Amino acid sequence: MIAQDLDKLEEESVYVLREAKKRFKKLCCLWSMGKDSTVTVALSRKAFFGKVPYPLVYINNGIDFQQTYDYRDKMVKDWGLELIEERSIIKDDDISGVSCCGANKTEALMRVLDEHGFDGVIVSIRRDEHGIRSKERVFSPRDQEFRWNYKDQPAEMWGEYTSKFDGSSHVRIHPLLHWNEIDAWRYVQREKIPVNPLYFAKNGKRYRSLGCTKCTVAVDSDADSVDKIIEELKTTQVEERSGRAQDKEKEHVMQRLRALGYM
Amino acid sequence: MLGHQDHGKSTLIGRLLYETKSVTAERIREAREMSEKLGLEMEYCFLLDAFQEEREGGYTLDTTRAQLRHGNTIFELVDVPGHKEFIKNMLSGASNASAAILVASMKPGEGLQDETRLHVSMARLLGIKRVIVAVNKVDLAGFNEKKFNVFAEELREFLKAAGYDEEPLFIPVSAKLGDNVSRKSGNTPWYGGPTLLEELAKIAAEDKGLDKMHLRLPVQDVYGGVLVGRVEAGVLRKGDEVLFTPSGRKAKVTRIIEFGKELGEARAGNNAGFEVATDTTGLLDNVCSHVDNPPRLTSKIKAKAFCIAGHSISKGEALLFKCRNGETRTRVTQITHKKDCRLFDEADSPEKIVEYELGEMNLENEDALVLERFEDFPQFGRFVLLKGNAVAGVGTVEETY
Repeated sequence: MIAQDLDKLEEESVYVLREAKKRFKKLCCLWSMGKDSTVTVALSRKAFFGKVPYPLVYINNGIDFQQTYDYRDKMVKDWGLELIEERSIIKDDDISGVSCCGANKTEALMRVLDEHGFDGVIVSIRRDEHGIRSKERVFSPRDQEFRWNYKDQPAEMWGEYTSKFDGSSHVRIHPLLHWNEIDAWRYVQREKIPVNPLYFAKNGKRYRSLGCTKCTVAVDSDADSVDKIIEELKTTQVEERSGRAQDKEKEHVMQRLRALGYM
Repeated sequence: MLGHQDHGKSTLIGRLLYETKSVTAERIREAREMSEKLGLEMEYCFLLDAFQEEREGGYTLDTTRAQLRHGNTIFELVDVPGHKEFIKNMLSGASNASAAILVASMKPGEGLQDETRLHVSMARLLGIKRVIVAVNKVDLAGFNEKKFNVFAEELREFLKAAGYDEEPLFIPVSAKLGDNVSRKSGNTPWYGGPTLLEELAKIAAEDKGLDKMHLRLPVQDVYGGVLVGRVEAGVLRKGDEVLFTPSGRKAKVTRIIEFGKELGEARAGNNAGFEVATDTTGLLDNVCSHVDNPPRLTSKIKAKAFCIAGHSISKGEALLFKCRNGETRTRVTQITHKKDCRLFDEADSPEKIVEYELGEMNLENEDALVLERFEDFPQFGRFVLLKGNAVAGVGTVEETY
């Protein structure tokens, strides 16, 4: 996996976050308590000199891991974060990507945006995570039904980000789009960012990508520290989201999910 | 990565990823399985991220980025769609590139096509100074030196017509078989130049020298007395006497800060936070420079603008002009010349330009903004023309008055 220059990555992300703050009336930032969205929160602290100037939105489906909930409470306290929690309801036992992650989480997100009137949503996706995400723009509009029209994306010239789009319900802002998985971990290491303990190996298993208890599978690993995770990623031949059911169950489910509004 | 559809852009990127071991074994296995499923030999382009319809249709719909590592250098390669209707995506993808690789096929019957002209014209407009020509499918031309030279000559003329005056490098490659991509090929003993990867490494090592330019720092925002903005050029130091344009206010830099620490300077590329010994109201979107090297504040310019598909730009028309320093209403007072970027047809004094056309025009902006000649200060010499919220044109400043 390719490790990039962290200083450059940080500069680009800080620029994007400040640009978002300037251009949108009401911003929020999705926080799943995973490493990526936590890196975004840390970058927000840098960009705005310690105080994150927008609320963090957490879509709670009630079946996340206990460690995730504990970690959330500690971070909110330690970093003085403003948290908006919205419960997503799991309607049946079908935990397939499209109906569970897609419909339920997207519906919950729609309620939050509607209730609070957010016009900009910061989402910590990375281009290297998934084929479909590689096509994303830094500022990416969603239509009234939250769909992503990947066939007709706006021109994004010379890093001049446009915040106004015809017919959009809100705009997704992607400050980590240019980061790789290993960069997020190296940044966690360099900045000493506390992370969810589920990432660290226990009894030969660890979570490499975190979803809820139902669709996340642990991978074989002995990496029980940030340093060891970075070493592991340098040589891994396995893709990051191999433990996420939604990506694998059906080919290109992710393409449909994102077009339908999933983060 | 420029060139016509089917000339092998995606395959060449896939080949580079494969040879530099920049993708995982899992990805290679998936690409192999996908190729077999579709009844194909190993398609290196499947190593790139892609939409399902792109793989099945065999074309690129949107910009694709791929990273590869070679020694200590990381390259980001951008595969742009070959279809002419996807020019908007190409502009987005290529607009920050430092060099362009033009992929042109030697396969009999493929040769130079309109889309290639369009791509090269766009690269020129975007200010990409370096072009490497990967003369692809040299295997299908029998690794023939004479045919290669004839084709290179044709390409040379063509690049010149698109505004590339310097002699470009022509490399005979086969993306499919790997000749001269990262390894020197035994099939082309008549070629003594570098491989594609060697040439890329050479360009990557060149210093852009932004630190040595005059200070230009647009004020992006103000957080309770702290000014923030990215240093686009030059270096800002504590104690410097700075000037804010257009407000004309001068002040001394009292502090340069980051979250949790104070700094002595902020260099090109840094997102600076700084305080000045003056009132900060009204400084938003001003450009901070040193007092002795102020930026150019202007409302009248001579420009080149390319018209985006689905739009037209007419003489006398009012549009929204957006550049690094902000936005203002603008009027097209005159169009002196136009050129079709696919066919290279030209005309003087047209009434309007339409899709695929590049016009030379005079613009009069309502408000004066910091604008520089694109050649001198690219960041302050480029703009977009908006109609409503849609980008109708992209352009560069040729002269300021």
